[in-house]
Amino acid sequence: MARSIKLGTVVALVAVLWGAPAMAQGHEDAPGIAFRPVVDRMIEAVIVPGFSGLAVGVARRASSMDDLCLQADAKALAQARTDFALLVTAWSRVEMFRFGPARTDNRYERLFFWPDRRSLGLRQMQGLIAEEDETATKVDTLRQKSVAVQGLLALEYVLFGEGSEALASGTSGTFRCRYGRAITGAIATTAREVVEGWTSDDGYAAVMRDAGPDNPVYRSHGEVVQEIIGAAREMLQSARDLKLARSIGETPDAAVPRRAPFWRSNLTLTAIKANIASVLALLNAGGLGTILPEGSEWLAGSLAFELGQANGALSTVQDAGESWETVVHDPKDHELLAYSLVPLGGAIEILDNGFPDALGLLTGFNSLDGD
Amino acid sequence: MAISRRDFLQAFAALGVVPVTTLARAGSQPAFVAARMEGASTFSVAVLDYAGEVLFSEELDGRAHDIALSPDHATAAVFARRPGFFALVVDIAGRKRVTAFAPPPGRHFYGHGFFSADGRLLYATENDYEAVRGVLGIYDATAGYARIGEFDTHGVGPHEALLMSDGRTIAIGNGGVATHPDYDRAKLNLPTMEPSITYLDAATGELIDKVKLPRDLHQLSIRHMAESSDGTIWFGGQYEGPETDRIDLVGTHKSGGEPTLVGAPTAVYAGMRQYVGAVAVNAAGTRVAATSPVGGHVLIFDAATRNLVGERAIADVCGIAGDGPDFFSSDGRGRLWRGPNLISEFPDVMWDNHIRRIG
Repeated sequence: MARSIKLGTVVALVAVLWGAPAMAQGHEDAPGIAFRPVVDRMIEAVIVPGFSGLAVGVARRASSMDDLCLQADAKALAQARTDFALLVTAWSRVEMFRFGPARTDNRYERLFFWPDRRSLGLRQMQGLIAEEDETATKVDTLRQKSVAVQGLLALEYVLFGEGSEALASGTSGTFRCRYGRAITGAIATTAREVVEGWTSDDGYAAVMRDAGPDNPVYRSHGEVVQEIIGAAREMLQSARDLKLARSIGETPDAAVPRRAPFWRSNLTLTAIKANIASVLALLNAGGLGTILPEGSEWLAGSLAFELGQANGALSTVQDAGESWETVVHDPKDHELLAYSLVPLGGAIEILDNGFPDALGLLTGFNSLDGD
Repeated sequence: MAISRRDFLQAFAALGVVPVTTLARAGSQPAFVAARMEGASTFSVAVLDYAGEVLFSEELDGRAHDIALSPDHATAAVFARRPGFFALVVDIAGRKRVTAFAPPPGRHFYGHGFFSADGRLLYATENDYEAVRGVLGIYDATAGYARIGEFDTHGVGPHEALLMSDGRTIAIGNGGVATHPDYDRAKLNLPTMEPSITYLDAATGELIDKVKLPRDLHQLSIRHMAESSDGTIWFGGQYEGPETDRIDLVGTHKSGGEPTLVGAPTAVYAGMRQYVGAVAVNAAGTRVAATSPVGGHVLIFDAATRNLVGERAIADVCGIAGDGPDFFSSDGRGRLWRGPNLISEFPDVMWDNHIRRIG
């Protein structure tokens, strides 16, 4: 086996042997790449506006939920359901940013408790509704309950789940409606906390901007970019493997559409497309594509192409207007959905290897292990 | 720029430093065993001598994690990385593969295990994933590693487990994180995770004790552990809470007491990036090392005083084993270290998370 060794390693090693501080070993940014400006841009153009959009989206939903509780009719229910779609889209565009403020106080899970393999959330919600637990109708007390009963999937169950038609029955202020209104308030509070967590003076945007040797989280701006690229990759892996592949199965007969999130509201494809759009947003508005060194710029175009292909296939299925639970069993649609896994896989590969290699971002064998 | 091994050695000579490799070849006795990846996708378990030379290796079906050594150090069982579905047994002296086996349906390996004091039984931490319950699978080493039963670990996500020096008490780090192979490595219960250390009677599986960290530390996943000379369990945690929290990542527990974290300057733990990947004690059990591949850092504590007595910066370091008074470590960049000294580097190799001392 060849035993060639890089000169840089010798230098680093000597530093270790001499007892010099060598913490930066392997963590210094590759020369010539200006990571800092793109960190600023991704925060300012994608992450913060994304979470703000979610917070604003919830505010809009709150009014339609208020209307529904005051005037329970088919029109108000339809409006509340339509607004829910906006909320799902807004969420799905920030779903990848699980680090930082979303990780504090379990805010990510408060907003989106998925996958919920054992249907804990469903069982807990059914219990709340059956008992008419009034503490679930106030934001403060709802937020003290399980994370599974206060997020988007809880609201989806209220608006689209079994018994939701009764929301249009003409009886105003029912428990179910008031619970839905409290969920909206809880989502709004959590979303606002995430925005503040990013934007306050000592918030996570500042942590990222101040990357450096003394920073408790990021030693360099390259590490910040690495974190965000990793988040984008994980987003696509989740969309591809957990949401799509596990639901559509190998064949139309083997499909289990309810494994995907938002099947009740038929917003599964809307959500996945927004996930894809969020990666594209990092590339374009976030400027991730602009820092690729000469000779590697093609990666940006290639990533955009793969994401476009996947999005196109999903749009073709969605635009036909059939429900998610129907399309997965239809041979032609199933073929298109299965096809979308290919470009998504290509995009994952580009984010997994292409970008880190081109940007000189070292990915550790053990440091990425998680064990 | 790539330079040759000769240039490398000359560079050291010029600096008055001589890599240990050239000082003494300790013969070709098996000394360490570890799993590794070569190139992009070739996995194996390798037995090394003291100089870091590979004496022999056996190919594996996929990425592996830790190795259990029989008490006579003649046999090694390497476990697949979670969610793991294979284990391979190697005859160290005979330098050959013995057998391979798999967990039963509905279980997967977490990647760690150990032998009973008489070497007859092999215990493996496993996930009963439909029930979200940790178990120790029990395999009969005298009967082709047939699975003869299992013990409840009394916790979710058991990771490292060991047989204590009394030969009859099992200590288990229940990491608390629920996963399911259908969802790859996604963490399914972070808001409610509840890590613990449990102690079982190795003969009966009876629960002897179960201890937990205070509620505000419920997201510190207890994963790796080692026993120091006075019977204290030293553990290393992986923190699932906010990145900006300042958390002591190493802790101890001794029978009859509560688990306590081991303090160190904030900057020291910050260098670990909330992640301990392996814990080991030196030969005398008087020093304890914890590694962080994420931070590229090794911390060494005095087991008696609990003081931090050493730090090393080694990128992507994880594997660590006692080696005389000090430690032997391996990293994801193909390098092996005796104490602070680099003894070999194989650029195409990535050493996996754990390494065990044979000799």
